[in-house]
Amino acid sequence: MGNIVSQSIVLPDTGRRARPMRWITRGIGILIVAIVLARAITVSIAEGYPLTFWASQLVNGLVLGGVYALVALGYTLVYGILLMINFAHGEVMMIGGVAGFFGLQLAQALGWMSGSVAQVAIALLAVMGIGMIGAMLTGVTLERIAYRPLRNAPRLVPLISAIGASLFLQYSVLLVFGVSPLVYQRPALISGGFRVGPVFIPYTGLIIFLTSLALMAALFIIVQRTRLGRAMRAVAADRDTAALMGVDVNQVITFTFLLGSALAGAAGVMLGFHNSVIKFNSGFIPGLKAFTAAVMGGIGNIPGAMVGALVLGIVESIGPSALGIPAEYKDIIAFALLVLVLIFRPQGLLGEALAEKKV
Amino acid sequence: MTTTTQRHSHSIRDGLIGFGILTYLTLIGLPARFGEAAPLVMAVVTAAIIALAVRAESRHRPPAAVVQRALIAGAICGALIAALTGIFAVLLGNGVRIQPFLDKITPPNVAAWYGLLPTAVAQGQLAALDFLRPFLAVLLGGLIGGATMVGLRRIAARNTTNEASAWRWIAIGLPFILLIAVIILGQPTVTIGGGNKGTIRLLLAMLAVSAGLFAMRAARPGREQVVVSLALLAGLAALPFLLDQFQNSVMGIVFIFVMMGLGLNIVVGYAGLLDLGYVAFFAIGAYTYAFLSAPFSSPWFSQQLAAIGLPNDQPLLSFWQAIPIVMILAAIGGILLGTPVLRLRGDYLAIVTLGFGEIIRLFMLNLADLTNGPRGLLNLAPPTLFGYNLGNPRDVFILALLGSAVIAFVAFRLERSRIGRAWVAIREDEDAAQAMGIDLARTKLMAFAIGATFAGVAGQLYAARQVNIFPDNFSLFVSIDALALIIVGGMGSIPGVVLGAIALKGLPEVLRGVDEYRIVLFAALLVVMMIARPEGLLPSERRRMELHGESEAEAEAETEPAPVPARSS
Amino acid sequence: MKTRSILLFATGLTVISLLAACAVPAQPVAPTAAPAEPTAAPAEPTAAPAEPTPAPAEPTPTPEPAAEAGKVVIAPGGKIRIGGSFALTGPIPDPGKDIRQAAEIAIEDANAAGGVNGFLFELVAEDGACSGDQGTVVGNKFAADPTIVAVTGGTCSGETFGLRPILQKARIPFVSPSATNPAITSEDCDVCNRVALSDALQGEVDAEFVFKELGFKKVAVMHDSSDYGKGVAEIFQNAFKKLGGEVIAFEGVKVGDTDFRAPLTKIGAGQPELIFFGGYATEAALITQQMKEVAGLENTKFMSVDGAYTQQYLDTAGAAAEGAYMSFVAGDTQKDKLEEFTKKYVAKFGIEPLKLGPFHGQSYDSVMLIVEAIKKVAQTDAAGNLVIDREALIRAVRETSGLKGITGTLTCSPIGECGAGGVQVFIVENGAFKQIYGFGIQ
Repeated sequence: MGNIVSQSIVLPDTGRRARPMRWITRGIGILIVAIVLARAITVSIAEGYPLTFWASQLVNGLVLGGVYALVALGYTLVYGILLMINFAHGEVMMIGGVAGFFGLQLAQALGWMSGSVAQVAIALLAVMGIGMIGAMLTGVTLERIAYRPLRNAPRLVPLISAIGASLFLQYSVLLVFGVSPLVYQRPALISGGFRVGPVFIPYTGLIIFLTSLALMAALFIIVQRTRLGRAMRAVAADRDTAALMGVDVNQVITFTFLLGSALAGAAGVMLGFHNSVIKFNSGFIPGLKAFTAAVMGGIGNIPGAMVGALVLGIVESIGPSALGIPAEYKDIIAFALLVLVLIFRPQGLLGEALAEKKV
Repeated sequence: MTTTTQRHSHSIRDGLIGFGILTYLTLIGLPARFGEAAPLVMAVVTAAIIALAVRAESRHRPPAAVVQRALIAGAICGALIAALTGIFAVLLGNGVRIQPFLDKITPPNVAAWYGLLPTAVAQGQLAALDFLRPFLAVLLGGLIGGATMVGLRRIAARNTTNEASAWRWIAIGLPFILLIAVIILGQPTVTIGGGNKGTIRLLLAMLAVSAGLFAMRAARPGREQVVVSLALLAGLAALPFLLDQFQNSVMGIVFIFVMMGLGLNIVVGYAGLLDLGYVAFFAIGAYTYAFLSAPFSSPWFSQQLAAIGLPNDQPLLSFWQAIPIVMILAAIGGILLGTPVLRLRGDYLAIVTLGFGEIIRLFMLNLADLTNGPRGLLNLAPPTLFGYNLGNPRDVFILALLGSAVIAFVAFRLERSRIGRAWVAIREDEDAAQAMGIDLARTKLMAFAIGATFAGVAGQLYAARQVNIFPDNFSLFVSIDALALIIVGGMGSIPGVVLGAIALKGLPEVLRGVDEYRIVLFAALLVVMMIARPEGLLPSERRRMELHGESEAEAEAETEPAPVPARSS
Repeated sequence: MKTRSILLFATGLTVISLLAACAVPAQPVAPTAAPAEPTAAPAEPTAAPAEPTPAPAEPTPTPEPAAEAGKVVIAPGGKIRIGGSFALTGPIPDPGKDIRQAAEIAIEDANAAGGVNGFLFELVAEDGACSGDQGTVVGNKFAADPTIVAVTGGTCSGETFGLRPILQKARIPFVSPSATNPAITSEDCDVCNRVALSDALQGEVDAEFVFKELGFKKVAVMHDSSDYGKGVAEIFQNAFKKLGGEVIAFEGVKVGDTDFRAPLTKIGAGQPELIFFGGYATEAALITQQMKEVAGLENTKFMSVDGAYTQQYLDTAGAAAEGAYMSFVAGDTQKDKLEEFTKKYVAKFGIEPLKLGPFHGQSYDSVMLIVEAIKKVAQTDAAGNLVIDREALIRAVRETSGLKGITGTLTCSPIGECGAGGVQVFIVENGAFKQIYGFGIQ
C-alpha cells in the first residue's frame, strides 16, 4: 500500500473453467430474478393492494433511501479518497443527532421553537448546523487519532481501528448521556404532513428527501468543479503523485472527512426529527445499510451512492409487501438484492471498473 | 528550528488535548469512582498525557525547555478543567439538575474533583479556594509528567549498552514466572486483590500464554527452541487443571475463537479474501450440531423424524459422530456462499459476505418452525467420552485446546503446501496468479471451504458448551471479532491468532472489573493497539519481512509523532 | 527451523492434552468443596475501586473458617455475597440499568434492616449483556466463586439460559426479575426461579381483553424479533385466534429500528382495529407515533405489553400515546412500599425508575426473596461464622410463600414461578397510565 498504484493489464480469461462457471452463476441469477418477479406479480394480484398503497410504500422507501443516501455519501467519499471503509461513519451520524438534540433543547429553552414561521425555520437550520458541527468535530478527530497514524499500514488495519472507534463512540454516548434515548420534540411547523390524494407525505420525510438530493448535488459540484474537489480527485487517483504536484494531502483528507461528516450530521438531525429518537446505537444499522448502498451503487462514486441508497430504501419498504412475506425479511431482501446486483455488475450499479484497480 | 511561538502553540495544543481527555473522563463519571483519591488519579492521568505529548520533544531539546512546555500545558489544562468543574459545581449548587442531559454530572462526581463530600457541592458550600484544587492537581500532574519523561530520557541515554541475551532469557523465563504466579494465586490462603482475585489470576494466565508465544520466538532455533517449546507445552497442558471454573470458561471461549480465527486466517490471511460473514459457518456448525443433538427442540425437524419413525426425544448422534457431518455441511456452505462471489474483489467481497452472514442469521431468527426462532434450540447434549460428561468448562477448554492444535497443524501444513502457495499468489496479485496458471475459482473455493470447515467445528464446540443456542449468538459481531483477532494478532500468523483471541475475547472478561467502562476501555485499547502495532502483536515472519522496509522508513519520519492520547486511565 | 518448532508444538500439544484428558476422569466441579474465603471487602459496599488503581492489599488476616461441603461459611466481618447478572451493555441497557439499581436499593434496605445475625449483604454485579454467551461467562464466574450464595438475574431470557445449567450444577439458586421465556423454569431445575410472570399468562389475558372487553375482531400483531417480544406476540396471536378473532398480519421488526412506516403501511392495507406489539418501550413508542401517519390506521388502537410499560414510552410517544393500551404483570402492588422505594431510588440515582424500565419492582422483590430465604436458613456456628447450607437455601427459596414485596404477595410454585398477582391492563390518559382492566379491579 502507498506505492504507486499500477494500472493492471486486463488479462485474457485463461481459466478454462471460469467461463462456464460465470455463465452458471449468471443463469442462477436470472432464474432468481425471474422467480422473484413472478412471485411479486402473483402476490400483488392476489392481495389486490390499491395503487395508493404502492405509492405510500414508495414514499416510505424514498425517505428511508434519503437517510441512507446522506450516510452513504460519506462512506463513498472517504472510500474514494482513502480506499478505506470508515466503519464508524454511522456513529458520526449518531453523534450529529445527539449534538442536534442539544441544539434543539437550547432553541426550545430560548423559545425559538414556538415563534413565527421564519424564526422556527431559522432555528431548525441552526439546530441542523449544530448537529453538523458536532459530527464534523467527531469525524475530523476520528481521522486525526484513529486513521491518520495508520495511513501506510496494511489495508485491514484501519478497518479494525474504525471498528474500535465505532464501539468507543457508541458506548461513550451511552456513558455520557445515559441509557435513555434522546427524544426530539417536533415543532408544529414540521409535524404532520400533507396528502397527495390518499397518500400521506410527512413534512420531515419530504425534507429528508429534498435535502439529500440537494446535498448530493452540492457535493457533486464541490468534487467536480472546485479547486479542492480537483485536489480530492487527484488524491483519490494517486496520493503520492498528487503530493508531488503540490497538493496538501493531509488537508484534502481532513476536508473529505469534514464534508462526509457534515452530511452524516445533517442526516442524524433529520433522522431525529423524522423518527423522534436518537440513542447510542442509532447509527449502527443505518451505517451498515448505507455501506451496503454505497457498495451497491459502486463505492467511490457519488451518484452511485445516491442511486444505491434509494434503490435499497425502496426495496426494503416495498419488498415484503410485493413478495407477500413478513416484514422481518426486509434485510434478507436487501442483502439478497446486493448479491444479485454484484453478480451481474461486480463494480456496482454505477461504479467504474474500480475492481480492476489493484488496491 | 522551532521558534518560541511555535513551542508555545505546542504547549497550548497539548493543554487542550489534555483538557479534552480530562473532560471526557469527567463526563463518563470516572472521578466519582475514585472518590477521595480522584484529584490524585486525575493528576496521574494528566502526567501520563503530558509525558506522551512531550515524548518526541524530550529527545532533542534541553530538559528545561521540555519541563517549561509541560508546565504551560499543565497550566492551560488545569485552568480549563477547573473552570469547567467550577461551572458544574455552581450549577449543581444552585439546584440545577444536569443529569437528565449529562448522565454522570452528579454532585458526587464533581465533588470528587475537589476531594470534598458530595453534600458540599449539592448545597453550594464551596469556598473560593476550593476551586483552586483541580487546577493545582492538574498543574502538578503536568509538571511531573514532563519531568518524568525528561528523567526517563536521561536514564535511557545512560543505559544504551545492548544486553540482548539477558532480554532473551527474560523473555523465555517470563511465561514460567507467570505460570508460577498463577499457581501461587490459586492457593486459597493467598488473598491478593480480594474480590478481583479470580480476574487477576485470569489475566496472569492469559499473559502466561501470550508470553509463551513470545518465548518461542525468542528462543534460539535448535535444541534450545525444542526444550523451551516442550516446557511451554507442558505448562499449557497443565493450565486447565490449574484454573478455576470461571477462568477455564473464559479460556474455553478464547480457544474456540482461536479455532475460528485459524479458519478465517486461511481465507483472509493466506488467500486475502476479506470475509465479513464468517459467522455464517460458525452458525451452520452450531445449528447442525443442535439439530443432531437436540432434535426435540426444533418443531419441524422433530415432526419429520417422527414421520419417518425415528425417535426424536434423544440425540441422533453423539458429539464425536456429529463432527464429520458438521464439517461436510460447513464445507458445502462455504462452497455455496463462495461461488457467487468468486469474481468480487476487496471490499465488494467484504460487504457481500457480510450480507450472507446476516442472511443466515435472519433465517435462523425467522424460520421459527425449523430453528424455534428467537427462543432458540435448548438442551443440547454436551460432549461425552467413555461415559464422562465433558461439558464442564475445564473439559471444554481442553477440547478447544485440542481442536486448536489440530487445526493449527493442518493450517500450518496447508500454508506450506501447493495450495498454500497458490493462496499467497492470489493474495498478492490475482491477475498474475491467474496468468501463472492458477485456477482462481478452485483455489478460492478451497480457501472458503477449508475455512468454513474449521469455523463449523468451532461452532459445534461452542454449541456444545452453551447447551442452549439462540440466533443472537451469531450476530455480525462474531464475524467482526474473528476478523479483528487475526488482524490484532498479525495476519497470516498462527501464534498471532492465539494472541489476538486472547486480546479480543479474553481482555473484555478481564475488564469486567471496570464494570460499565469495560467496552469503552476495550474499544480504546483496540484503537491504541492498532496504532502502536499496525502489523499485529505477533506478525508472521513473512509479513514482518514485507513490512520491514516501510517500518524503518516510518521510524525515520517519526520526528513529530502524533501524541497518542491515553484515553483510558 | 521455525517449521519444526511449530510442528513440535502442535503434535506435543495434542499428545499431552490427550493424555491429560484421559488420565483424569472429568467430573463436574464439586459444588462448593473449596473452602470459603473470607472476603475482607472494603467497608464501602458500592464504591469498589476501578481496575487501574492498584488494589490495596487487605491487611486484615481473618482466621480461615473450616471448610464444609455444600455450605457457605462466612467469617465474622465478611459479607453475604449475592451475585447479579444484569444487561448493562447490549441491545437494551436501559431496563438492565434499572434492574441493577433497584437491586442495589434492595441490598441497602436489607442491610439497613440489620442483615442476618449482624452479617451484611453485598451485591456482586456482573454484565450479562443480554446474551447467552455472556450469561455463560457470568454463570461460571459465580460458580467459581465459593462466596456467592445466590444470584439475581438475568435480565434477558437468553442470558438466563446461559446461567441456568451452570448454576444448577453449582447449586446456586437464582431468581430472575425479568426473564419471561416459559422454558426458564421447569421441573428438572430446582435452582431456577423468577419473579417475572411467564409470557404465557400475559398474552392470553391481553387477547381476552381485546376480544371481549374492547370487542375487537380484527387485529394485527407486531413483535421486535426478540425472544421476549416474539414470544408474547405469538401467545397473543394464538389466544386471539382461539377466541374467534382474526389476525390479519404478524410482522416482525428489530430492536433498534426507528422507521416502522413500511410494515405499518402494509398492516394498514388490512385496516385492523388494533395493533398488538410485543417488545420494549422505544419501539412501541415509535410505532404509536408513526401509526398516525399511515393510511388505514387512523382509528386503529395500539396495545403493548409490560416491556413497554414505562415512563419512557409516554415521554417518547408524547401526545400520540393517548388512548394506547398497555398490559403489565403485577399483583396487589404495595403502593406505600413502591412509593418509599421510588423515593430512595430517586435520591440515590437522580432519576425516576419508570424512566428507565418496567422491572425495578420485580428486581427489588427478587433480591428480597433471596434475602428472606437466607435469613431462614443461615445459622451462626460456635466460632461466630455464618453458615449457609446451599441445599437448604435452594429449598427455602422455592418454599417462599406469602412474602410481601413491591409487586405483591410472592409465593413460589413448585417449579419456581414466584411472580405475584396477575395481568393488569392500563390505558394512557392525559399522559399517565390508568388501570382499566384485570387484576385488582373489582
